[in-house]
Amino acid sequence: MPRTQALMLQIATGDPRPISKQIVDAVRMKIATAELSPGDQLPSVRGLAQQLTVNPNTVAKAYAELTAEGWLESRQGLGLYVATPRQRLSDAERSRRLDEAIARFLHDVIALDYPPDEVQARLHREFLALAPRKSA
Amino acid sequence: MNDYVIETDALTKRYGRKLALDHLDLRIPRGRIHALVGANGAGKSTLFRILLGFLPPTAGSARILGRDSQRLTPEDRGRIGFVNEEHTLPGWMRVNAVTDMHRRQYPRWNEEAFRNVLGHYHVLPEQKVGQLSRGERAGFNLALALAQGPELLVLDEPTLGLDVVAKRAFLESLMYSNATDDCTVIYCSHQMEEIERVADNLVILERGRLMHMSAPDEFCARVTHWVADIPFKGPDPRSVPGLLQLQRLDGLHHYLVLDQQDDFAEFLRASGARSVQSMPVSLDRAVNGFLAKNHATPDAQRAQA
Amino acid sequence: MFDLFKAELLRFRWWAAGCVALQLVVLGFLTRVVDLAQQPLLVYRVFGAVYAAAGLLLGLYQMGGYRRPNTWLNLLHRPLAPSRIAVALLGAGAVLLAVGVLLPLLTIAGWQGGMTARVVDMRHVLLVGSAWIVSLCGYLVGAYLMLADKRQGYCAAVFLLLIVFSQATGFGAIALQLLSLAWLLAMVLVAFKPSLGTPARGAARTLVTAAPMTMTMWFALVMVGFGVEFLWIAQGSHPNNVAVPNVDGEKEIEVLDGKALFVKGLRNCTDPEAPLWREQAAIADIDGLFPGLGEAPARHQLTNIAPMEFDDPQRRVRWVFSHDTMRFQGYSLVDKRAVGALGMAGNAPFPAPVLPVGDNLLVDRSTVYQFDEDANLVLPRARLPGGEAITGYGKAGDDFVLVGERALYFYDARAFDGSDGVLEPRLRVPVPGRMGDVQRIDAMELLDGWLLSFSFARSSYNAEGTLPYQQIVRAFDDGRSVTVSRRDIARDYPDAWRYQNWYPSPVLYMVQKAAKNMLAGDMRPLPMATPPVPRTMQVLAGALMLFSLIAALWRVRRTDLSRAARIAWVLACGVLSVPALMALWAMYPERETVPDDLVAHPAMA
Repeated sequence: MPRTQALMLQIATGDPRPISKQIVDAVRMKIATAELSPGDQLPSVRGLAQQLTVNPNTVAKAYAELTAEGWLESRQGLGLYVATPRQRLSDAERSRRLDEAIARFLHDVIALDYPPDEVQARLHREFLALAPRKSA
Repeated sequence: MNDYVIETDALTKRYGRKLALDHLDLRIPRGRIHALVGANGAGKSTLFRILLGFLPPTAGSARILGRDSQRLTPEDRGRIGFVNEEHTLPGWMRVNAVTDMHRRQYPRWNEEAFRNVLGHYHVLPEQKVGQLSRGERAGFNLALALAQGPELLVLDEPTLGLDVVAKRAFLESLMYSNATDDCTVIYCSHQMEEIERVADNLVILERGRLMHMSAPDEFCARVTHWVADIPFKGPDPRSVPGLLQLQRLDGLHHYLVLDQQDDFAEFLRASGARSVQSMPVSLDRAVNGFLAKNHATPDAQRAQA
Repeated sequence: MFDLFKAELLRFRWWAAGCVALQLVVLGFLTRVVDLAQQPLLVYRVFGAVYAAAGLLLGLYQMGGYRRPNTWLNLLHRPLAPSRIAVALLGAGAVLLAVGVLLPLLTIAGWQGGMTARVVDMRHVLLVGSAWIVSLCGYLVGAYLMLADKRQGYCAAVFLLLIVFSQATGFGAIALQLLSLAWLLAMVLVAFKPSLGTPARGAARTLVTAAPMTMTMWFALVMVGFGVEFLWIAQGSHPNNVAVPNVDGEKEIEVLDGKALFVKGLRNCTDPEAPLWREQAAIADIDGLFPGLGEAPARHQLTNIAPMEFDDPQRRVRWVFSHDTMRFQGYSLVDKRAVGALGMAGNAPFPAPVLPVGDNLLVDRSTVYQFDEDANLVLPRARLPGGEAITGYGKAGDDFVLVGERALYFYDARAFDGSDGVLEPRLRVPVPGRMGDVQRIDAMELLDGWLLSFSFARSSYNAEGTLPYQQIVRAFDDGRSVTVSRRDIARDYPDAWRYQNWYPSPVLYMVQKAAKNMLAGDMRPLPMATPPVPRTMQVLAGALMLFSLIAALWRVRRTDLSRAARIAWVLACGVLSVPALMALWAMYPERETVPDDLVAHPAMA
């Protein structure tokens, strides 16, 4: 019987992102980097809330968003589990989201005045750093 | 069963030439944890005194749990818990005596909740209340309040002066004990860190008026921080739309604005900005900026801006 | 509720214990040295003041501690009605005072009654009870001071004034004190509500707090009169303090000697013998008499006018009067052991309490007794008919005179010392006026009777006393008496001064007079021939009532009162005049308005 997987994440209160968003981002990152495998059980709403010392409703909201996006699935009476990866989004939607993310990224980075090559190189390095874990 | 736990209608309270509450229209719905934020003098304490019937309003009306606040019956009082920063308890009584008294007076007393909360603090039953440290007294007070099984729990700066451990224990008791399952909680604090963790709903009071009410992240999303490099004097602060706060740091103009979209960049460029950037802000900064708008500024700072 | 009561008791238990210990030491010491049951009135007043002050301090401390905003909220925000919380706290205070006041006093009284031969009557037990009631009244006054709005909290003290100035005696005094206590309790219960300091709602509650306030305002006006008098004296033209009293005036009556008084009085006398009298007056001996005896003791009186005891030096015995047995109980001064009882003419109970006045004479209300040392008997020697009160005594020539309420009685002084039985008066001269007005009586002996000058000027400076006059009566030995001359004495004080306590509120003036004399029984002051209020004063009082009515009409509009309350207050101000207006002003502040210039900037969100 699968036991609850520990969720090692931190939230920062001074962060511009709201707490629920921080949780959503962290869980997504962990699933994307295979720290959490499909079928792993996540901590209960109350349990995670107590671990982070936040309002349980905030955790519930984060979990709801993750479930709506397809990252998590709820099994009746048992709790929340990491969903099996399948295409949750259509190609058009994926493409649109990538465009948005790129736009945001560029927006943030453009004023820093780095040459595009250096930015690309940095980006590539970071992707590579994540990749090994992804394949494991 | 009323939908609102607190309902005020043009509630006004005057002290001499100052208005502590200024035609306040506040409606707080049942359920969840609501954070009440406001600078000192925003009228929070006055509001609670009036809501609990300890102060008559100058004008307007206030209802709590659907009852007229000036005509609360003992049964009504049994459904409302109140904890304030002083954690006033009779200092000469022993802990077990105070507990026994509460146990007898409140029909819905929840012994398990009481023990759960009190268990976080090192409080012995035979100690005199006056001998407890501030944190222990706060914990005891909260344990008593939660065990009463209230429908509405009002906490007015309950963690003021508590050390880190006591503060965390307090928040844990508040959010995770089942005593607050059916309870609406109103939490007043100056500490944004706490508010951010705890609140489902953020209510901002300023100078006796309701300035804002929504979920914290919704509010946070409305405030943005723009940095512009403007070589000349820059636009007149009075003409800047949605301006909350303006700072000149190292020759750059820092604008904290409310409800401005990307077209604010156009405004800045039109005012002569050579470069413009924006970023979201933390809740702490957002609320601070929002409240600072109406605060008195020292003359030197104003002259500089 | 019981929890709160118990907690409050435990809170002060050490203070109460300390009080008991202190008192036992002090009272124990005192009772060894003197007989606490036989002290003059002043001593009991001092004790009463101390107990009232102790109660006051407890009330101030207890309620003062609770009334701070956060503590008050913690106390009252619970599922328990405010009245029950109040009863718990006040009940604890009452028990604490019972322990602190009643216990030591009862202990001492019990010890004195059981272990010594001294007299301890039921009235002494009542006195101890009264001490507790007085301390409770002080306690409630302190509590009200702390709980009520500071503009009117002090008005509870008016009940302490009532207890001090009241003439009630015995059970009547206890009843009056209990009434005051009940009213004070009602006041504190009315003030004990979540929003402290706001005016009471409802007719009954308002009446409970407004009536003492109105009375206090009347008293404050009386104090203003005192202040004016003080300034008048300081300024030097006060009739009572000028170097030379006004000629033919009231003050002169006090300072003139008998001879000059007679000469003045006989100035316009048309009697044929008048010139003779004038000559005689210039050289004869004039005797003076006054109704100066004061009150006689009343049955079951709580305190004593003076110690009700006298000594028999021959047998070294002290005789103390007991109201319970209506006889003197004696104890030896040598070994403090009981010696037996001494009744009237042997062992009969006295019909009324008897006060020893020295010279082996004792008086009750209308009888003079003499203690016969050799025979060890107390015998009645003179008794005024019809229970008429003795108001004074003295000598006139060879006669012994008793000044009764309605007449003078002349006795043969030698017969007094000579025989044993009840004497009959030689002569009875009715007083041509009320004894309460008599300031002095001067007597000049004639061949066949007396010439008596009655000066009626005692209370002519206030509204109660008659307008001053001097009347000279010729009394014949055969019992006839004829008025030979009357002169009106010039007024030293104008009407406005005489009626200064009346015209601000005639109704309240009468109320306070009734309250002072309520339940007084025989201790009522002597009757006076109060003249009707002069027309000018009536007009002034009426004008003030009208002014109060109009001012009230204007004022109530600016307050928060309901329509019915407004009508009631306007009527009250019309009837009760200025004090009610002052109470209205103090109790109901102007309605708070929210003027536009105080409105802050419009909301942003």
